[in-house]
Amino acid sequence: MYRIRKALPGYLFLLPACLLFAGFMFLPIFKGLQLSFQKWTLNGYEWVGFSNYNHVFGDSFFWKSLWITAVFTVITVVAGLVLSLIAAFMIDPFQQRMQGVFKSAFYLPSVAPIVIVSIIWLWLYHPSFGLLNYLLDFVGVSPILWLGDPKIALFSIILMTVAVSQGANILILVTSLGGIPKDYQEAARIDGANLWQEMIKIKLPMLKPTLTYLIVVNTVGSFQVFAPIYMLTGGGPNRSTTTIGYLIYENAFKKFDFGVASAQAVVLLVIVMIIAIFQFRTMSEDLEY
Amino acid sequence: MLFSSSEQCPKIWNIDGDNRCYKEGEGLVILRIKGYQLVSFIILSIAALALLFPFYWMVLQSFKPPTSAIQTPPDLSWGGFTLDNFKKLLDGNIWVWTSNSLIVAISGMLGNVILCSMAGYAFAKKQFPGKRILFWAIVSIMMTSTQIIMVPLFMQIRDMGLLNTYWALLLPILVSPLAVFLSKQFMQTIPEDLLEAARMDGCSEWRTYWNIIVPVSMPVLAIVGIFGFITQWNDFLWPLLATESRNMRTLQVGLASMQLQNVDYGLVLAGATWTMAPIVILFVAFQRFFVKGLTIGAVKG
Repeated sequence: MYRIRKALPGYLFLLPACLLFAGFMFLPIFKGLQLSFQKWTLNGYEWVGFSNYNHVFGDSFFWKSLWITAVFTVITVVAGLVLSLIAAFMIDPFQQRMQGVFKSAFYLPSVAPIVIVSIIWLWLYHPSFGLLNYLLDFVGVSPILWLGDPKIALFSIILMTVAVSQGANILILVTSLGGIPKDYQEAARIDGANLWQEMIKIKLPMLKPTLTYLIVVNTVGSFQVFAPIYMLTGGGPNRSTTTIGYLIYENAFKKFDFGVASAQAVVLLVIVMIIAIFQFRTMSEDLEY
Repeated sequence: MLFSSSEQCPKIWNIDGDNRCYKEGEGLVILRIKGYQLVSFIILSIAALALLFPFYWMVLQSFKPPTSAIQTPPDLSWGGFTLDNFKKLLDGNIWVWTSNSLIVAISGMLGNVILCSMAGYAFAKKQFPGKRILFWAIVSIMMTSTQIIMVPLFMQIRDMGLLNTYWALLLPILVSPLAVFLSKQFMQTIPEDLLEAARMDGCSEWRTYWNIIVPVSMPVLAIVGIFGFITQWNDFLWPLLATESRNMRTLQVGLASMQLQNVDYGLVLAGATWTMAPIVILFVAFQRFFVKGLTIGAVKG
């Protein structure tokens, strides 16, 4: 009895948040699992066993979308982190105030709503009056159908994503670099290391925990890309930009095939969970009880 | 830091004869710029300008005649400003969308600050069975965005008969795992003595939380609040799914629909500028909170 009374305040403080988490995050996950074994007909929900999954795995569009998502994720994450790392190494030696200016300049585009970013880039990419083709024309390259060519469209979306979403990465990396004790740097300098060696041999290895964290977070995020696809291409042309996230949306809210969409969402959840397990490993080092 | 003799100070720049010793990372800009820094400075500036230029162009065009946005070659000239686009914008649904967005973003902010800080407090300072598992369950949701649960969440809200109401927009966003995580991380650092003192003075549990924990936690609550506001202001997918009628749309959904059915670039860009303005204001006003918020969970030390 005493133990319950002692534990009670903790539970009461948790109650409102936990009710909302349970009702609108956990319940939907379980409901999604249930829906993935059901079909929605005029008579209501009907159990259909694994038929939705059979449909999903037998569907060439599904495999294609997984491939597109993987290409999108790998290129976005790798290119994004390499660029962020270069930017962070360049920002690091500056004094505080100058660092702040650069951090803000790179971070602002990444807090802009993705809808607005997409509107602007749709305009930059416009085949006839877009700024990018105008610039290409300037240097004598013939205009590119940025979003209309099935071979190029995905890379146009990748280009936009990489360009506008590095703010958080850069901020975190610069902060991390600033946290490296100066002793290491001085020791390396005394031993005659040049700036390049200092970066690669001393600082890069010390960034490993931060980089692991960023890789996981970026990968999980990229795997679920939706809004840029919705805004820029609608999955086209010729389905060349239909990622798994967009495919789920299409199945559920255009074809109203909720069962199949749920089965696909479950597959996506499993993939994301596998990536997330690594997340817990890296994060648990930071957490103490 | 002032040094009297050169023995303590490895390098002395004798500026104005004050014999000041500048540590690394402070001092006059001119003195500290070295060759590689100049190169870095130029490359970083070009990159930053290239990233910011599209936003500048958006704002510029929203103040120009509607056809200016689709001119070839692109019209980058300064001048010929007009408010036509904004007049047209303000005659439309923009006020309704803005108030919807404000309702959503403010509720998200308050929900995150109050409900999640209560949860964070329990995780940081209270002992009870099942704490660890509950905490990890909540943190694990960070990995699942709306993207994954959108179909069942939509069905659930529809079955509850709430689609196209404020409830549909608000219920799923009042709490966020990140807010719980951030408040817990911060509140763990509040000294136990402070709480002990409150208990001695006979504070009730709620009073301890409200009069001691909340004021002390203001730095992290500000971060949680700003992040909550901006995340909800920017959110697109859930408002898109949860609303059908024009009057329930948020700015983001409204803008997307304008973009998809409109060829009036001037109008769309004015809408984008309108929607972006609060973000920029918040960003400029609370910049340092962004840096802190991002690095709390991510960087050691």
